[in-house]
Amino acid sequence: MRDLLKGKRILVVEDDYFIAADMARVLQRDGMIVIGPVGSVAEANDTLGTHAPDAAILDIELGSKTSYRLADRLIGENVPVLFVTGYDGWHLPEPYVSQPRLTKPTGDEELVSVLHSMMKDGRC
Amino acid sequence: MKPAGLGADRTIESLKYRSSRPPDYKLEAELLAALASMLARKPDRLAQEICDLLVGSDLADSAGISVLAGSDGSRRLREIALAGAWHDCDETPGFDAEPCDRAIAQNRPLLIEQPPPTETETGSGAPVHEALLVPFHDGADPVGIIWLLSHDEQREFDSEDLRLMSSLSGFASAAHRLGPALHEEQARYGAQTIHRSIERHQVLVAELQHRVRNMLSIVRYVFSRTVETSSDIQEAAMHFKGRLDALARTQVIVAQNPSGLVDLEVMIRDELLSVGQSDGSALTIGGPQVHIDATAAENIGLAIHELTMNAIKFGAFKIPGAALEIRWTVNMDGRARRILNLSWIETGVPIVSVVGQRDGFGKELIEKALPYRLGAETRLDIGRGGVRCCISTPLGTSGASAGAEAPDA
Repeated sequence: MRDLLKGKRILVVEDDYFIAADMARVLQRDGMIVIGPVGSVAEANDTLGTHAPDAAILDIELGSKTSYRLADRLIGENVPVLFVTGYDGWHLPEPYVSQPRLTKPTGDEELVSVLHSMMKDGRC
Repeated sequence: MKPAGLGADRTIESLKYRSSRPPDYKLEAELLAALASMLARKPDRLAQEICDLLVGSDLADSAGISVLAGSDGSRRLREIALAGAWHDCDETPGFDAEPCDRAIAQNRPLLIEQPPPTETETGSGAPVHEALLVPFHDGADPVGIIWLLSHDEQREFDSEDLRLMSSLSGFASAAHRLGPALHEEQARYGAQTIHRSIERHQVLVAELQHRVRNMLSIVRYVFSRTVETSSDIQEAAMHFKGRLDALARTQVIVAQNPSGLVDLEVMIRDELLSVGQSDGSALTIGGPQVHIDATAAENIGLAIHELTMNAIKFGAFKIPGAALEIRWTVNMDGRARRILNLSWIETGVPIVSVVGQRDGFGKELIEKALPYRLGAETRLDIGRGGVRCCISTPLGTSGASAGAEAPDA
């Protein structure tokens, strides 16, 4: 099942270095190419000017901001978005309730298998 | 089926031995909020609302509230609200009997398996499998019972049901005390107060949960990096414990301060004291009082820990005659941001090739994590004299307390 993910470019937006580095490590281990990680929406938008990701992993809370606007942009460009959050699901606003999401701390296998099913379904 | 158990009280303590689902704070907050709003709008319907919510949230098949009525002598229980299967029965069987009396008399919750058959046993088919009775109070005296019934062997009550009932019982007391003669204005005011406190509680729980989850994620990464970079399991265990303790010390300081800000000097001294180092001829610590937010504290605290461990193993705390100076200042930068400049300067340490390379984690932390997380500029030099590390980081721009002004700087 991992073959589907090999060589895929995954944008990682997460403001905590440790969590971001951990995700990048897992994705690279399974043959994916990590765009970023970046810690803010502004940096993510800059990055999107030069890189087109196949999927994106977004932390919802980035300092005092949220990543919803960025998610809108990505979804608009048909890039599947996976939310990662330290809050419970009920915290999500209505339009994103059905979006794939994981709560922290995310397990390595969990992360990869959710990405896999997103890519398989072409969900965004 | 189980004649011996028929109608036997199970002491409530037996709940301890039942597996229980985890606490559902979200449901609790929703129930409390719904009741607060009912108290504000239709206080006379409060008791019924409690029962409707309990059944509606699938906490019970039937739910009711009975209160003590009649003055002194008689002390009869009267049912004031009922919802669920029993409510839908043609003939309301009622549950005012014996078990409620016992719960009131003993003034504690009761769990009853298959209570004595009531009129329903031959009737419309909602036999009781289990009952959970929770008294509520006016002052110290029990004045009534909220009772939950299970009509189905699949539903067995657990500690979480008891916890939720205890949480809601305040509203049952309010319903009883206020009664029909409630002054509306008063009720509305009370409800608003409750609402505000519930909201605050909700925010706090969500924030706490968020922090705990983030911390677990950090611990997870620190663990995998430590294992990757250690040469054997003993070394990994020792390094990991040290890092976990450093994170824990920061958490203690954060928790002590209601604002969530941390006094930098206290944090640094704590870290050094944990390895038995304090001011002396070999150690100078000094700078203006400055408060940093929890995120900065976690990251800088861990950096100080790494530098300290390095100094013990190779540097200023190991070499006789060597010294360490930790100083900081706060300046404005060109964009009118307050910048903390923290320096760690060791002197008198001859060049040791492995200095600063304990396992690469400290280097990664200082050179990558601090710039990434805090927007800090950092320098880590290992040269003649020992380790020199400079960290310049904007104050009050990271993490949840972004924008919060440090009180004393």
